[in-house]
Amino acid sequence: MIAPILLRRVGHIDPESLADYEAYEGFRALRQVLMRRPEQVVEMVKASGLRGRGGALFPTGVKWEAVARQPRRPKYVVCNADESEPGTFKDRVLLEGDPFAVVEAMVIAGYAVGASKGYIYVRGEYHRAYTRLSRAVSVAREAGYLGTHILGSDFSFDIEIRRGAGAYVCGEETALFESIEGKRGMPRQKPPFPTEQGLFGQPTLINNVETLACIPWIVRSGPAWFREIGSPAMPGPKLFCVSGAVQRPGVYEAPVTITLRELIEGMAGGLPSGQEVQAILVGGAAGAFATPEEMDTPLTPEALQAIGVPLGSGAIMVIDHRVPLWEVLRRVARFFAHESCGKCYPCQLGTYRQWEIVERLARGEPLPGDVERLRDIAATMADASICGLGQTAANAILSALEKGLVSVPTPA
Amino acid sequence: MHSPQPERWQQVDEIIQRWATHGRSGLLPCLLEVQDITGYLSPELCAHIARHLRVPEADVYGLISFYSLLYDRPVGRVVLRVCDDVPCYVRGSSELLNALQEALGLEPNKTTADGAITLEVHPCLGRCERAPFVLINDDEIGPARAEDVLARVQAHLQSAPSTLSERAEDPAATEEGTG
Repeated sequence: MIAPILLRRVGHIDPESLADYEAYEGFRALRQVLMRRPEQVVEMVKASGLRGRGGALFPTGVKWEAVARQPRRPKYVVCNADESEPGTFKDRVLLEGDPFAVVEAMVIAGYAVGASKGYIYVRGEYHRAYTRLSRAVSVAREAGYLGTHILGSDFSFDIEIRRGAGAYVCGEETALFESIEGKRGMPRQKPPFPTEQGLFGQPTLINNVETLACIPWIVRSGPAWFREIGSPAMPGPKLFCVSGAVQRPGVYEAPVTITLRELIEGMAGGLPSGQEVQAILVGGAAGAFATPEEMDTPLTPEALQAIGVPLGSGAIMVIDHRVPLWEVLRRVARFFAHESCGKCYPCQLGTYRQWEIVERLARGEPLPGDVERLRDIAATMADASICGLGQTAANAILSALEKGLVSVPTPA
Repeated sequence: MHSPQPERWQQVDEIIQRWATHGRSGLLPCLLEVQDITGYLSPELCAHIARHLRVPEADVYGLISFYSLLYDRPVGRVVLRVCDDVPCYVRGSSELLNALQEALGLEPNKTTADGAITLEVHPCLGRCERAPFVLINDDEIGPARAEDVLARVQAHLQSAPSTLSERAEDPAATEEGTG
């Protein structure tokens, strides 16, 4: 097992102390970056093979390059800290435990892509993360790491922090822009993509908290070092959020080559005695179930794809044999019905119909054709919804049915 | 309609002035910060904010109805958010919720008759390592037991300042409010 990188400072430094952060490598990457050309920084991120840690796994360097090439000004850097995927809490742990890392990474990103302003959009229920970030931003500004002529260079960049207000869909990048612009957080039709027309219609780089947290380490230790960790398709360390029926729920850092079993039974201490794994919900409510037989699967994107499970945000929810799984599915269905923003009909109607059917199945009182209807709704939502919320809203429920984790009652 | 106390209006107006230069983009943070002071966004406040940020009043209500943390009617001085999502459910959130409902005599998403406590059932609050988890205003408690939650609620009720709107109806109220 590798020594922690992303979690290296978490719990070991005073997160409010700039001196502590500086003593643990802090802002050295920024000093290095300011002595290079922006293109070299973009090249370094591309060479690292870093992929987005918010769940979509998009190659980060490609995004940076696309924004860097845009001639229009101003450009923006946005940190997506609206972590709301059920079972996901890694970004909160980073923001609370190492807030300066996100600030440093955003300044580096701003320099690389030619942006002058950054926004951090923090989930509304994350009060401590918001307070710590606010403090980190103002302390960094006083110390010359933010503002005009950063560290005496020609580069100027500043950060504004925005609070979310309780809407899961705002984690979708374009919905998040709408929210910052003062509107209801409804996703936009893509294209145009944020790299061309993002926040306020301007070229925008938007990255997840954990993705940004990788950046200073890539700068310090180099892309080759980063690629040595993890798998060829998913280099670097990854944070996993292990929750549910384990002895030590928490955030664990590991390369994606780790298996579900090693993570659950090793790092998280296994299940309490007398309990057995019934199912594992991987990737959040938008994820899919793995069975106990699939626990030796590594968490690489390819291996997970083979068992029909997305890595997503790195949520690993362990459900023991005592839990009625239909109750879990009811919660997933209710969640999407409540959180659908209502902009596009496949999702607005589909998530409600899905919830109703799951409720009937959970009660053991299905109508004839309910399961077929559920599959039909799932296909329609996946094909026709404009954002990831509707596109993934049926995945967990379908996977539980397909893997035979729940028994389907017969209509009376 | 009651008019809030002058010093509270002053606090509210400071927030509005700070965000007014942002126009529409300042609307959501402005609403959140004003609500931190006032507890909820009354029709009077909505009209006031709309006028100063130069946005249609309908759009103010558009935001309030969209975002679950914004309220256009009074909520309890203490808002209890009980997470009932998958990781918390696996670790006993249903039993916790039932116990709290019974002890408080409250259905989910209702407020006690004296306006003191609101009980909300919430999707994942992102503290799954502390399941089952409860937020009491912005105070975190988890793994939460019903008796601990209830004790903390009492402590909050004794220390929480009443909100602008309540205080407007009570000219004798003197304690200082916080965000």
